[in-house]
Amino acid sequence: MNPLRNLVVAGSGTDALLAAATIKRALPNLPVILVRDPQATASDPAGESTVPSVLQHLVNAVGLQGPEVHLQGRPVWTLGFKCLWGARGSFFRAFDAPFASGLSGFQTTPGFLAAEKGLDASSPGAALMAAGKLFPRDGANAFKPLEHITGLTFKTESLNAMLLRACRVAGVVIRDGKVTGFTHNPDTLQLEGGGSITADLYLDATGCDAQVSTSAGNTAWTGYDLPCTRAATVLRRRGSEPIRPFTTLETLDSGWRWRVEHDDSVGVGTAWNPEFTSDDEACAELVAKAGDSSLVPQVQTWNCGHRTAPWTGNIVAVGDANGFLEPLSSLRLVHLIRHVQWLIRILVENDGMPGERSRELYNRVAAQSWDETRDFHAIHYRFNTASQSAFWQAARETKPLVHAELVNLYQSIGPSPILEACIPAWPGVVGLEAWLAALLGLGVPFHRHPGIPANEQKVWDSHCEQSRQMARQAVHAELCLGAARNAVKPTPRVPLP
Amino acid sequence: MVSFSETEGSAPAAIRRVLVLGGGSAGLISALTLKRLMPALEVTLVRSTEIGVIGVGEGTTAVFPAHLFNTLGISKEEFYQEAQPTWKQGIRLLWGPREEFFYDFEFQYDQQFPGTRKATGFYTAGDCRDLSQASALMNHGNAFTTGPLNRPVIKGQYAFHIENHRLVSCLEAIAARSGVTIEDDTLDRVEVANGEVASLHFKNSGNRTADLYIDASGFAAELIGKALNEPFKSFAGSLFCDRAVIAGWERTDEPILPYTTAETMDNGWCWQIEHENFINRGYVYGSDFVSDEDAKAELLAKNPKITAEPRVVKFRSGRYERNWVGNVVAVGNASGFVEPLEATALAQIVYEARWLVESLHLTGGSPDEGMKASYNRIVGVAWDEIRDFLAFHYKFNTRLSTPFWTHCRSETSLGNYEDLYRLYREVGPSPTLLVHAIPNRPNVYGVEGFIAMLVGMQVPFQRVHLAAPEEHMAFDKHRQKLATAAKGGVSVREALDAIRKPGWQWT
Repeated sequence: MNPLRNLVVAGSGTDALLAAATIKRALPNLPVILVRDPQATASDPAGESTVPSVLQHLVNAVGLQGPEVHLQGRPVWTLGFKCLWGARGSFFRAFDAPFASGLSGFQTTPGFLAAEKGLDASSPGAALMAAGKLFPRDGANAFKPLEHITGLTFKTESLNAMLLRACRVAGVVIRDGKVTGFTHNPDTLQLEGGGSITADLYLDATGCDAQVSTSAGNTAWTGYDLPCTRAATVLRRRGSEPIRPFTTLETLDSGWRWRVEHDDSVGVGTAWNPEFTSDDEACAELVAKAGDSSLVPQVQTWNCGHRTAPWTGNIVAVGDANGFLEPLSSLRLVHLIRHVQWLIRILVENDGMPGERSRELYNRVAAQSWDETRDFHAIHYRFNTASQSAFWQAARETKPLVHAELVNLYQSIGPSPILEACIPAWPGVVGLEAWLAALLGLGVPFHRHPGIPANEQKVWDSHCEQSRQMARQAVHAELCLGAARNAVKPTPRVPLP
Repeated sequence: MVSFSETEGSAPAAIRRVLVLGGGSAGLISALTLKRLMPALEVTLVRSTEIGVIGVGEGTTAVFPAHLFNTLGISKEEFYQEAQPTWKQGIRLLWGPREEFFYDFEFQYDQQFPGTRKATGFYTAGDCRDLSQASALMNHGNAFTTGPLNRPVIKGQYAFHIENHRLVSCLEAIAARSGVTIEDDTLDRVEVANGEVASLHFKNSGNRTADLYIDASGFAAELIGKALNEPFKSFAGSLFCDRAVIAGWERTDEPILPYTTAETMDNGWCWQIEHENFINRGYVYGSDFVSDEDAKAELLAKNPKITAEPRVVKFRSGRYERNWVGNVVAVGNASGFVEPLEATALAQIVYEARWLVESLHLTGGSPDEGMKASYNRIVGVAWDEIRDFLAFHYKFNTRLSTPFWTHCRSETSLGNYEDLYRLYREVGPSPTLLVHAIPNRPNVYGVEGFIAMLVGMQVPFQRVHLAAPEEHMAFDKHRQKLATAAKGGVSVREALDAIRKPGWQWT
């Protein structure tokens, strides 16, 4: 067996660009060829919402600098989610949810305090979202960009343009071409117009179609049974309304709706099940909500699940080609990054000669991640008591699979850090804090409520009040965005324009 | 408040009174742990003077001293005085193709030395000694490194050898002082109602009831097994030994070794436990392969100093399906048993007692079915992990080709760790990759223990690393440093003398 001599990444979207740039930066001596169709257009106009670890990846692994991200990618910051959802009717799930980590001087873990009181002020992120603000003020004329607790929301075109430049800088060889298939003996990637490429390893980053894998005969799929199977999205112009510092998730009688923020527009999507509503009705409702009757919704069919063996032979499926779940937790790119990082890890540890067991390991790690996210979404269906419609009555039958123990034990003992022992794959893609934030936010009942000492309650109340105070004085998203894009050099203190 | 609904069935009344059945190390450690970590509990331990102790010399892992001193806050002066332990840094295995190798409680293989490109296991095809301070100490016959004023540095991941009768009487004294009520009586019968224990009837004191019963009755498993009929899951597919013949001799001029020795025998293996004045030997064997007489003969032939008449102990390896059923929690040998190859018995008792206390804490003393289910899974997978870890010892020991060992190599099942082994065969001792082949969380040995066995027994793998000369130099330099510190260390004898000097102070 020979060490890997070259690698071809096939695909035209974010998956392919992010994968190629990351691999080339991690393995600078490996020739990486990206085969992309420059005419391809983004399939989903609503845009790409992410979590904080994605920005870390863009900076640390793709090598982008803060100003590049903001000037080329033109993202909008998001502190988490506002969910019109669950027993409370609505809650904020911040990326800086602190529910399992002990507060110094407290006997009670913060989750138990927040369960009773102050959930919407339990962290800076939550308080900022509740106040409709983005970043805390820093002195009279500046703000503190808390980028470690924010995700970024990109329009797909700007994100891809930024990543394409990153590929060029990293030294990825970019070849224009449209993939038409994959043939064996010898293994060859076939391109439109009769061209072809051979390589030692192929990355299938062609999105949900998984063109390379399926052409090579890898079609086995592990499906998830989840309530929504259709979706439609539109991108509408933003009027004068403020940019929300969060992604919005809203319960509808026939499914749910999500809304992501861009600077000059708003991406809106709706998910439903055709057994409970027709495509026309769902689309009409979406267009009405968007308030612009000229919009034509793009309907998607969701096939939630993952390729059973995404790395088969010398083709590795990453991102959407590897698996798909509904955009309920903004984890799409986290999965993609995990695929790419594991591929790199396996190549490095094997000196470029991965064998069958290593491929199995990759496939197992990818499947475990999908399982965790799938179960995380499942609790959003299972515990959403915000609607009594027929759809939701059926949706509440959705059960967590490998995280059943986590959910059961939560119902006994509440938001305890010990629940980490019930997350089978480590480290998870969702993470214990997000699990607890969702379970608390959804208002899932639990038996054991520890008595809270009066002095701790007092300190907690004043802690929440301080957060609310900070949030009231904080800065709106528009001001922060303007400042970040105008700043020549990023400094920890960004002056207001 | 939305997060609480009273309609979900009322929580059971909080546990206040606990009855521990059995006065061996399992009963005492659980009683002590419950009482010291939850002082409001009323803990009564009932033991029978009619039942003998099977206890032999005990070897512990590093979990044991950490639990006693750090978690329970027991004073070191007290413990050293009453239990008279000696120290061990791990296990010396006369096992596999190498002359010997060491297993310690630190990290030998889940680490990378500065100046090298891979984890340590990739550089140990020839020599696997001196990879950690503990393994270097064992290799050079010392217990601890030397600190300021030439005193032993009694810190880190050390463990004990303790004579069972001393351990039991020491724990009894501490338990009594900690507020555990200890009574002598013998169980007569158990009243069961609705799948729970209703009361225990004792020969002298009659009926006793409690909110929670700890079954620490050893192999008899009076409550979990006999009274509640919980199914027993045998480990016979992985572990083929079912008897041990035990003997020993008074120490004369032999140095006190800083490890337990595990030596390959014709039909099993033999331990050597180092007490201060006594050396304890025990030959663990499979009765399908050798008679008691022949096992005894092999033990005596290989250990001519044995004075006492060897005695035979029978055991069965396995665990109860669930260890917490209704109001009964089984601990120690009543919950499961494996041979003492990795000195796991006391560590498992500590693990069970800790999770029990944690479960009571988390539920405010009213554990419900959800909590019990999690407890049972966690304790169950810990037992299965120990089984699989021991299976690795049998599957890859190529030292002898007797019928017993041939059978072990071909028939031992690696259980849940089969995938980890297959991945190792391909990628080698890479902790980065192997850690994701570990089947359950939480786990006891992590990736370290399994790699230590695979590398120790020179199990081959494909991705051999061809190290550059600079890497070898960097690797050896680091080992040299550990070896030098170990050589300048103090022996068990010297360390015992040091702590008995009037000026000694524990920190």
